[in-house]
Amino acid sequence: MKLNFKFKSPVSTAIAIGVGLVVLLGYFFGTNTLGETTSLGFLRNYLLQGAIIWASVALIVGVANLSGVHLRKIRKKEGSGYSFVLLLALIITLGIGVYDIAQTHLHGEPNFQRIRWVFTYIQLPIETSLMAVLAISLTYAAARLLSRRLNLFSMVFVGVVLLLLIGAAPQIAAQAPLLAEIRNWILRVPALAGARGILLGVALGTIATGIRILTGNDRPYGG
Amino acid sequence: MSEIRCPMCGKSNPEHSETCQYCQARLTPLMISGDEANSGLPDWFNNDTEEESIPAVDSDSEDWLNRLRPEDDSEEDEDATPFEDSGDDWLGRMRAFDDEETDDETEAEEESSIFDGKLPEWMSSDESAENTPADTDDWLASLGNDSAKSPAPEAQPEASEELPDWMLGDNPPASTPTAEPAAEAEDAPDWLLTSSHTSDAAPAAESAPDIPATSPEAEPELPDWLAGATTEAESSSPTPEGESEALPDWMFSTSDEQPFAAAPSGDSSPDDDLPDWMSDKFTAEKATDGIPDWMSGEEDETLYEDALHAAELPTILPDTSPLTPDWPTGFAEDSQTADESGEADETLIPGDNFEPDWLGKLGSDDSAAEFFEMESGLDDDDDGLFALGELSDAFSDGTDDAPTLAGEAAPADLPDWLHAMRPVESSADDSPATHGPVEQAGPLAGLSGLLIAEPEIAGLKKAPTFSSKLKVTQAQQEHVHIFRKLLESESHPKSVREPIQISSQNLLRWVSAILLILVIILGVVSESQSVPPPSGAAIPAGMLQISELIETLTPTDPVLIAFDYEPGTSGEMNAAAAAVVDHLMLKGAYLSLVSTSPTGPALAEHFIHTVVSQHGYTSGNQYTNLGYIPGGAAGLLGFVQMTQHVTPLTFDGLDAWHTPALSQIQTLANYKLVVVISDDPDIARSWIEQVQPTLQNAPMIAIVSAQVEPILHPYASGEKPQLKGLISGISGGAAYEQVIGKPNLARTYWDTLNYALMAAVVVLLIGSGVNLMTFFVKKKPTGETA
Repeated sequence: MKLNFKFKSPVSTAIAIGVGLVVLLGYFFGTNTLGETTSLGFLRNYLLQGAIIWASVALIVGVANLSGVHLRKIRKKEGSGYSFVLLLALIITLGIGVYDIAQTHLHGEPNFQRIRWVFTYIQLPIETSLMAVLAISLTYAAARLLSRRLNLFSMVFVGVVLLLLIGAAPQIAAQAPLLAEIRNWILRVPALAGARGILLGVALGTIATGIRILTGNDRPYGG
Repeated sequence: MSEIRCPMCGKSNPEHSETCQYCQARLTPLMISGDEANSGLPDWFNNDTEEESIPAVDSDSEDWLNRLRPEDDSEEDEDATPFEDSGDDWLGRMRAFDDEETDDETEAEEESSIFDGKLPEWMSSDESAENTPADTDDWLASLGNDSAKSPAPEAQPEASEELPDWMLGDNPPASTPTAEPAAEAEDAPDWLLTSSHTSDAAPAAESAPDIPATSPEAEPELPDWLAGATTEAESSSPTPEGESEALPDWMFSTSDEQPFAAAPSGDSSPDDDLPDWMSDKFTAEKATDGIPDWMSGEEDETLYEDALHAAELPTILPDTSPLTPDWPTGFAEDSQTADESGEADETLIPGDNFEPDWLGKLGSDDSAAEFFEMESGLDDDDDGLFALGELSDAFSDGTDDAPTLAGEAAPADLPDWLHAMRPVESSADDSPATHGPVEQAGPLAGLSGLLIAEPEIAGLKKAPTFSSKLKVTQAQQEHVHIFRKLLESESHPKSVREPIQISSQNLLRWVSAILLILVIILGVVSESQSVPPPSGAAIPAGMLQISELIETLTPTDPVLIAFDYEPGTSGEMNAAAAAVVDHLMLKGAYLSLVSTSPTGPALAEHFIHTVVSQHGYTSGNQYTNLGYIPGGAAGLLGFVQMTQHVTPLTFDGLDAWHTPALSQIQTLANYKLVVVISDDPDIARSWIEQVQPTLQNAPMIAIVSAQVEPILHPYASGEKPQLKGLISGISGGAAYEQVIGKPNLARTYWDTLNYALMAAVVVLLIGSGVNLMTFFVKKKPTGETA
């Protein structure tokens, strides 16, 4: 007799719902009136420590998955050059970090100059350069916006951008305080209202998502 | 005639058709040149072929006998006889050739006179025998008993000794220069030889076409018997059917083919009279009696063979044509028509203009002459067998048809010799295995051993072959091509037209990039301080609160600083946070560095050792890098609930919580100040939502990127804001520097930021203007088209 009962789905759902309820109840009943941690508080903390560890492990798993994906790309010769560079950089960086950790434990004092050098002179400039290119690209995209899509919202968008940029420019703001006031007004009223709305929406969405997960209607873990 | 009847299937075909449209049998024989044909044809045949020179005669209403009648005396030509005009006077010429010493002209005259005046006995007896066979006994008896009594032996000294007159009279061996007369007389029938060679030897025959049908001389010399015959024919007025059918086939042949009829007259003088039986009993009614007895009474072998040879000619002629010989029927039709037109008395008189249908076709058919020439050659070698094989069914049919003629004529007994000549009966006894298949139809019916030529060859026409290839017209091919292109176009995706690369866009791209880069580089390199920092009202109110909080700190007070930003935004974040951290260091606060980002601890170390390196903070002494807190919001919650458990070690791997400054820290509420430096609003919100409620009295300030300010601004505003202070971007850092009065990194970037923003505004204005114009320029033609 073949059972079509799926064992994985209800168990994982039960675990997710149970852990969520424990953490949620821990907010209210984690400590007693004396400020001491209750059993539910301990259970919640235990689960939170496990989540932190599992997140760290997940990072390692993510690195392994990334390495595997690029290894397959190298085998299939799909962008193998970039994949090879990525894996090579991963191996080199990992080796340098492991070496520095080893040196630190061997010498008994912090010795992370090598990995710090890699970060300071390789990773940091690269990411900063990418951000700089992004700034130029955004500027050019804003300039082409009207050629791509000429409508009211585009014109409003471009106008607001111009006002904020002009108002953000210290020299222009100094010369034209009105523009600075307009900018501040935009930031304080429309932008703030929009941000509040976004935050409220995010809060409601978070609550709804939490309820769905607790009730088992939403199972992002699969099953 | 407007139709040609197919000899194979018997169906009618158009006159000019070469092959039968029903059975594909060939209707007309193969053609050869006229010269070749005429060279081998006898005179009588050649003359007949020259139809154009012969006066037109209604073949339907007249026959050759009509042309012999005295009515033809009206013709003007006095030098020619009707037989000279027609090509059928070969018999007369044969008679003339009997006399070798007579010149050709004389012979022609004699022939014409002979024929015009007196028909041969056999002819007369033949016709009369059909009427009254009993009347031919006397002369036939003389034929059978003594051939010398006939006129023929008189003209032929050697070869005619054993032949009847009509057979031997036209044996002119001397007419052929290359052949000996005696040999020819022995091997072949004289009349045939003569007829086959006299075409070249008889000048009279050559000039025959120009001679009128009947000459004046023929009229007075018309024999009595012929005149009587015509008289009786007029008086009896036989029906056309009876008249035509009363004549046996052999008679038709002899009447149509003058050689046979004139053969015995060759040696007869023009003054000779016909026998009694012929002159007295030549009537159409009596002609239906059939073969006369004199024919059956002929016992002479020589005569028999010669008769066979004589019968060969009419057999050959229709045989050369693929058509069924219609000359007998044509003759009958002609007689019928003539009778209907009141000229029945002329039907039995052969005229020079008479031309049977079959002969007319032969005259125009060169192949007939060729075949005749061939037959002549064969006759010299294989006369006996060939003669038997080439017997015309004119004889056989005539004998067969004789009893079936008009009812008023009693059928006569077929003579033995003629009966023996019948190919049907003679060949019936022969086994097909020895002589081959017996001809079943046509003039050669009953003959065996014949070469099956025309019918089977023509009948075995190659089946039409049809090409296996499909015949496609040009239009169909074009349609196929169009359809094929349509199908191919369906399989290929339609190419998307690439947008027109406007050069102004590329120019704008390069100009904007170069302008921004140049301005930033120029600001950094120049270290310009020309742009005044924000001051006065431009400094946000939260800056002062932050400054006051930091001013309340004492040395070694623990301060938690969260470095939650990415290296990419480190330039902005470092400039924004530099003044605050510097302020904290100035106060001597013990810094605990933590991050929820993997790169945060490294950035923190970089910040301490680069941005605020002037304070000389060292790890473990003035600060502690707690490292990375994994788990996001959950990690922050755990860090709040279990601070020492979540981050037990420092970034250097040392015990974090055993340092003198941190040994007092049990929870985050033990920190005097919490500073969140983040470029991500979510992370900043997580710190505010997860950590700030547990801080109790510990203030929390945020140093964020300019893009995060609108999101975090609600947390920093209100009556009881969660954030005691908010510094956003370089401008916030510059403002805070301006507050504390100590320029730092933000001030360094301030001019550069100012220039870069102005450049960006310029680029945006120019680009927007150009693109706006380009949009309208591109849209205008489209609108006009629409």
